[in-house]
Amino acid sequence: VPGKVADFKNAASPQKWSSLLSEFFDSAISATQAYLQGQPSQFFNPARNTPTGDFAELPIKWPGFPRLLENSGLPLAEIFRRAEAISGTLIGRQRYQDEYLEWFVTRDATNKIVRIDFTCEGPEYWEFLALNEPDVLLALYRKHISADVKLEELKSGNDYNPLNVWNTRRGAMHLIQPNNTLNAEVRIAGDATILRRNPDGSLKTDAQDLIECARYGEPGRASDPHIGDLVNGLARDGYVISIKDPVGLYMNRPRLAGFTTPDGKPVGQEWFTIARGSEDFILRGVFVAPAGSPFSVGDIQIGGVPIAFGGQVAKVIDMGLTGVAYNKGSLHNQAFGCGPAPRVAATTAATSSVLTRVL
Amino acid sequence: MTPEEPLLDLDDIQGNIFPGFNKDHQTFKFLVIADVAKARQAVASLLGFISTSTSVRQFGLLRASIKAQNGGAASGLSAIWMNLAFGYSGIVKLADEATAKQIGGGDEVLKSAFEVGLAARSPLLGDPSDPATDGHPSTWSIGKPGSAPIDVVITIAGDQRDDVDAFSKELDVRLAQFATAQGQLALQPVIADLQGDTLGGDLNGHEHFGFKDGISQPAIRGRRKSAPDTFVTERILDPNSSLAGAYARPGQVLLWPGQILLGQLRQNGSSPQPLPPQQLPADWIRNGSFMVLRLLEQDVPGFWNTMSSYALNVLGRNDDKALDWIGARIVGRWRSGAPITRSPNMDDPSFIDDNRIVNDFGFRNAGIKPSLIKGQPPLPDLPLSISDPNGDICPFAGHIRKVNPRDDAVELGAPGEVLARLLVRRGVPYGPAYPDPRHAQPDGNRRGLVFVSYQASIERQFEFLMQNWVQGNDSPRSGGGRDAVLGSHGAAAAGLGPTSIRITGQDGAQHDLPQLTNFITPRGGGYFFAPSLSGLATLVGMK
Repeated sequence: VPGKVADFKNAASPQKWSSLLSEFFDSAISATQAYLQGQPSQFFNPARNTPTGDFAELPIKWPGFPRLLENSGLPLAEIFRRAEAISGTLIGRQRYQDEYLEWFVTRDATNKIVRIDFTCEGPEYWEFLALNEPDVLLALYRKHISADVKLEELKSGNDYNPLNVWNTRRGAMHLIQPNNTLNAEVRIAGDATILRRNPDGSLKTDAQDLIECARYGEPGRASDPHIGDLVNGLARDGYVISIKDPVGLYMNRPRLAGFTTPDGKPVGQEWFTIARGSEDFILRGVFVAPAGSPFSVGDIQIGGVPIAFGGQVAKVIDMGLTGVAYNKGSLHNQAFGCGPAPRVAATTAATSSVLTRVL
Repeated sequence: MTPEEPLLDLDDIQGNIFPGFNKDHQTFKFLVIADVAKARQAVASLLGFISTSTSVRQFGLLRASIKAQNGGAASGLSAIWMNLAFGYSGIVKLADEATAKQIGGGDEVLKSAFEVGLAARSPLLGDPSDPATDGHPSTWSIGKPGSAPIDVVITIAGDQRDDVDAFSKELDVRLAQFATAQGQLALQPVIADLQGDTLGGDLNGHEHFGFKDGISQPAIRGRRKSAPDTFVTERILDPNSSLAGAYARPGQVLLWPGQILLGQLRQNGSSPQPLPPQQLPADWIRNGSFMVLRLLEQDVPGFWNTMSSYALNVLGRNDDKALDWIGARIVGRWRSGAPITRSPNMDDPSFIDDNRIVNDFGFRNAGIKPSLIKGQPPLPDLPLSISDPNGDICPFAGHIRKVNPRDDAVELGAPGEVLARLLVRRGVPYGPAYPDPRHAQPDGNRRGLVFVSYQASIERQFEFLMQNWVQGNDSPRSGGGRDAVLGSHGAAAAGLGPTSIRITGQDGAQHDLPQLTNFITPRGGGYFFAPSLSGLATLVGMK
């Protein structure tokens, strides 16, 4: 379970969730096998067969604030404004917050920020709760978003609605940007284990080149090319690779150097509360004044600039996951050119190299 | 295909922004506007003395041609250059507050770094946040909070100290003509002039720790408006080679001019397609650039004491060769400037003798021998850059790997994103040099670097580099440690947490060495805006 949270009440749920997660890995492995034409996949499903042998961990981190928006060339204030705008049908979070970190800003009657909720939980887990643990789903929404939440408000017909009002206009329970899914994370990691070659036969090593070649994500984001870059580096070293348990995406505590209260005192980590997950696996964090503080979030200055947008805090939160790799140099797979996987007729793959490619 | 590069009006751009004064002696004047109307007249009277990109570029070409002719001996040429820049408060006085806010990208809701200024931003850069700690803005000699604002900065640069001093005096006489009826100067010195001088002798071009400095500077794309067939920066790579689209000379990356100049096409990662120019609140801002000035005091004995302790730890000895070997890991270059990924085991000044070699290296990937345009002499036969993806040669906390990761994996996505963070540096040392910095003992003198950089965005470039890469333990490389030279490591770094550098010894063993000492103490500075020549004319003609 992401962050090792103990949400489940139903005894069957842990196994069911594990099976779902396992499907993500199986599917990602199948996608690699579509390429590999009989060569062993360099991606493994930790629920099935964790290798033994030499072992390496590779933490992969990237900034939580959307790089695509940051590179838009808009004035700084406009970038922050758009990232979290809620106006008409536009939910800025759904459109722009695409680095697996999303946030929701609560303001007081004077429009001053009093609280910023950060989440990095993929929607799949919440869909699973809706299906298997509806009481838990409701209880978590009531705990973290509002005591007023009703179960029917979280649904559209019989199905869970991730874009319900309590997870869009009135709060942020989990990720909703379409690319921010747990499955996408697993799939990108898997796809990135495929080695890629240049026309001259040399291996591709550049992050942008790799993602544009393999198309395993959005090249303009920080996360996708960086995950792919580092995972492919492990694959080039001949490792068998996966994502460290508990599989999930995790935020780091905000780096608060330069944050000060109006009386000039440094702002400490007591302003950031881990609301879900644990110190090592933060799934949900809240930036809010500690009890007894005479100040609120909007009073805080970052390098002399008062906090006017949640994105100013998102800029100092890194996102991350950890890659695990076994048996350096154990695999020497063939590298592939760019484009989609060659379609392979599975039954004939081993016997006929002519018939295998049905391009 | 890379689109055609824009025409740049080099007569409109201040010469220290591009191509850079590159002078051995500089004097900085820090002034406050005491009378706006008279100050306009005073600044207007200086406009004819401002050195343009055209003049500075032509001087550089002439000097290079003489040196080529005389076999590299001194050219004998001498010039005096002058440039102007304004603090936020200066723009408010000469233009208006709304314009000053917009120049920095801020507005009524969100203040920009330019507006709040360097002292307020200081803790974000990793400077001490405790007023009791040396280096806190309350201890600064330039731009101390509560002191008179620095509205105007004048940079004077020359080949001879005497010439710079003489020009500086002439300038004082000129400015003294602009006074109110009560005899008050319109532009008043806030503090004494600041002098910066190269270190002299063998240390010319080196900073106080002893390392060659200012070697790696990006090149600007663009063609001369007055001669559209020529690029503003010479290109020496074979146009048919794969590197020609990205580099002016081997290792010198090309940036779209909007990376440095406002209102120009901007760098878009490593994409050959630039981003459109930033929207400007007023046309006179085009071709201007933000200038960051930081007075950085260097603790030379402290630096080499730490190198000595690192050397004992990693190599088991601390003789001069051991100190040099460790120092090269900490900086990423040998004292001569030779890059360690090309010469891992010994300093070799031949790398620095040829400006087609000195920047041609990477960290992650092995070097490729560049092919040059016809007419270029053959490149010296020196080893190419060695692939160092795991930091075994150059540690991830090594200074040049932190501030310019080149081809390394970066947390921002792809290495091309590095390009959008680069800036141009125009610094100069101050204070007396130690004859051999490796054996320096405390002598009571203050010395360091007048760090000067130009960029189109203070937040996205200078501050990003300081906040994220210099002071970041986890960026650009997760767990890489803070910048081994510039980083805040000591007690003053409370809030940043402990940090260490991993150095791989000559025997292949890895050593994780805690970084405990600060070698740099900030002594002040400011954020300024250096307008174009036409912008200056507009600014002094306002109201």
